[in-house]
Amino acid sequence: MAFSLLSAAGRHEQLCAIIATMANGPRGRKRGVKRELLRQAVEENVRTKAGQRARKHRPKRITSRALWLAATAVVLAAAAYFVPRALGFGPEDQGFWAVLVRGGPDASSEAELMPTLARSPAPLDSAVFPVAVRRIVLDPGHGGRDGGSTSTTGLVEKDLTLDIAQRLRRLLEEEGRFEVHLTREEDDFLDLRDRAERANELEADLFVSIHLNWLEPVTQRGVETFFLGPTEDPELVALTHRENQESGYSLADVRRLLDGIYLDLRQEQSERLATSLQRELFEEVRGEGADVRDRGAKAAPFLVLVTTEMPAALVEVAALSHQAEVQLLQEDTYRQRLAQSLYRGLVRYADGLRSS
Amino acid sequence: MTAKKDPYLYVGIDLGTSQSSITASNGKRHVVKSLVGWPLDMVAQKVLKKRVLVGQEALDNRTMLDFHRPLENGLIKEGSDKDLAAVKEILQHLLTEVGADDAAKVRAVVGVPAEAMRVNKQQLRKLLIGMVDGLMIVSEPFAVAYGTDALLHTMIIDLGAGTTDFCVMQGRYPTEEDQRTLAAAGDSVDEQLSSLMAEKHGDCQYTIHMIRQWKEAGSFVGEPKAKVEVEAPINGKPNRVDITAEMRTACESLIGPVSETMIDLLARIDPEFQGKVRNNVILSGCTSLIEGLPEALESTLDELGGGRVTRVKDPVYAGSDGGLALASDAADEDWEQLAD
Repeated sequence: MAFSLLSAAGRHEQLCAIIATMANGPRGRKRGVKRELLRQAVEENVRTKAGQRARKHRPKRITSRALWLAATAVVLAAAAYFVPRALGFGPEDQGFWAVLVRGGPDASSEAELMPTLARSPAPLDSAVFPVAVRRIVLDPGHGGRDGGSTSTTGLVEKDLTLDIAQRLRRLLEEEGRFEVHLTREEDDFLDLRDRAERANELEADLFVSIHLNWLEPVTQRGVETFFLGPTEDPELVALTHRENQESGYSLADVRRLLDGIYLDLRQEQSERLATSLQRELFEEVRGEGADVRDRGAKAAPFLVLVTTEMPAALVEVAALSHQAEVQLLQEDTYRQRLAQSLYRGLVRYADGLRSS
Repeated sequence: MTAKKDPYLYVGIDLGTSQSSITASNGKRHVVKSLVGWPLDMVAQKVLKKRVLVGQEALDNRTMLDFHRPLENGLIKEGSDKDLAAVKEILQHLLTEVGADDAAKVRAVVGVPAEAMRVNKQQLRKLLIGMVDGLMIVSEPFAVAYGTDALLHTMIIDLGAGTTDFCVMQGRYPTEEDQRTLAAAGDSVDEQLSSLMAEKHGDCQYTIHMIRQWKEAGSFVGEPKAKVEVEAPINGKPNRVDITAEMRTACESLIGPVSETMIDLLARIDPEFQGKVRNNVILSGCTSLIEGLPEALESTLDELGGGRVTRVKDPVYAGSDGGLALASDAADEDWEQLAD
């Protein structure tokens, strides 16, 4: 509502500018246009200051996502009307259908329903849609010319991430209910765009990117997991900067991707996934020393998480900067334990989704 | 621009990757290389007799300094407190140079790349708290358009060091649809020239700062009007080398990406107005000073039926002049909304 009032005010001022033009000739016209431009520049700054998204001039264009949501709304609305009748239910039995179509009985017309859905998608209600996780894409971080971090003893991040991902795939496949894909099977270079596109093309239900951390000072150790969201933590800003290199995206792409994505309904599910992975991972490694820290599940804008279209998390399973952790990582039993903990985290998340 | 009798000093600032400029309502203006250095130790501090050095002075004394070029692609480098501090020093230097210390209050308009993200703008806002009393952040090409009255059916291409920013002006405040940012800019020409030097004149000794100075003195596209000869020693021995061909190749590497983006943006404009915009393409920014660039870009419009590309009168100050025009025209109630 605030949005349309603002637009109305804008239109009024534009009208005033045009009237001034007619009254004052070309000089008055230029003044009118400049005044209007300044007003809009100030409005944009006030929004930025308040942490709000930039205004967009897109009244004529409907984005594909909005179109999809609108089409879904129309289909569901039609289903809400016709299916109960076909099944012999009367208008008094429409409670269930009202849950399915958010705002169903209150939405007086299709026109009212469409913008509501397009502007603020409601979270997926797992009570209504008992969804199951089936297809999982695991992303072994780095690869090829991009080695990631290297320990002082010569252990390279890209080799470890691939090993742990392959172990995790075996565990998940043995479970029998998951179909698992890796973004890379060999020591190949893939930019972040390729990784996300692979997961999106496969229409995966979950995406987990596996990495090893580099912590300063190097005496620090611990595990952490990320889901998509903004951060002001300078340490995380530096980490995301490192991990977002070799992204394959331009500055313009990134801006378009980020503006609005934080509001996406995937964020809530991604946070749950990250929390589940972090919990199991820390439980597994906490016994390795009193200095192993639970660095938590937290938000950060890793590009690979921005562009994947399903719940996604990025997990830092160990620190290659820490001498004791490097020694542990050399043992295949330890890498197997890390894979097992991630497996438990994924299963816990998937089961939670089903039972809720 | 409207003259105001009030206690405020109004300034427009173009915070650039290579150089930053300021224009103030008291008639003063100043440009400085976006370089900052702090003396490395007590000895350096005694020699230099300064807490911090900015611009050319920092470049000349960089061996004694913790030296920073804090902007990258037109934005503050991420993750480094030192680079944040360096940007603050540049802003403070600019404000001091135009006498902001003597003003009761300062209101500033700062230009940033067209597609700078919200977080970058918020970072800049935080940095300027306490330095100015009112702050408006606008896209750099929009500031140029406002300052040159190119408000309708025009395209501004602001060629900086870190980014090339495009903005189509259609009598409204530009949105993301009207703007583009390209990473191909002055710095990419430097990189290209540097690698061509390594390839063709591998024995020569030079630094990236020398490359930048050569470019500032002799950059061109098209047929050369004179040889470009520079001093680049070999094993410490003075040596003069002809880099005309390398300079041309490096500078011409900009034409492809800039013309492609220009044509792409043109194609998105209402077809009724495409011809008008094609005949009103305006270049600004320090990299627009490459000789022959407007003509070269104009010739790429031939396939669309021709067009006209011109350069603003004063490319170095066009952004900050535009910022000052915006600052001066903004009403008190606008500034009240923008005050922290």
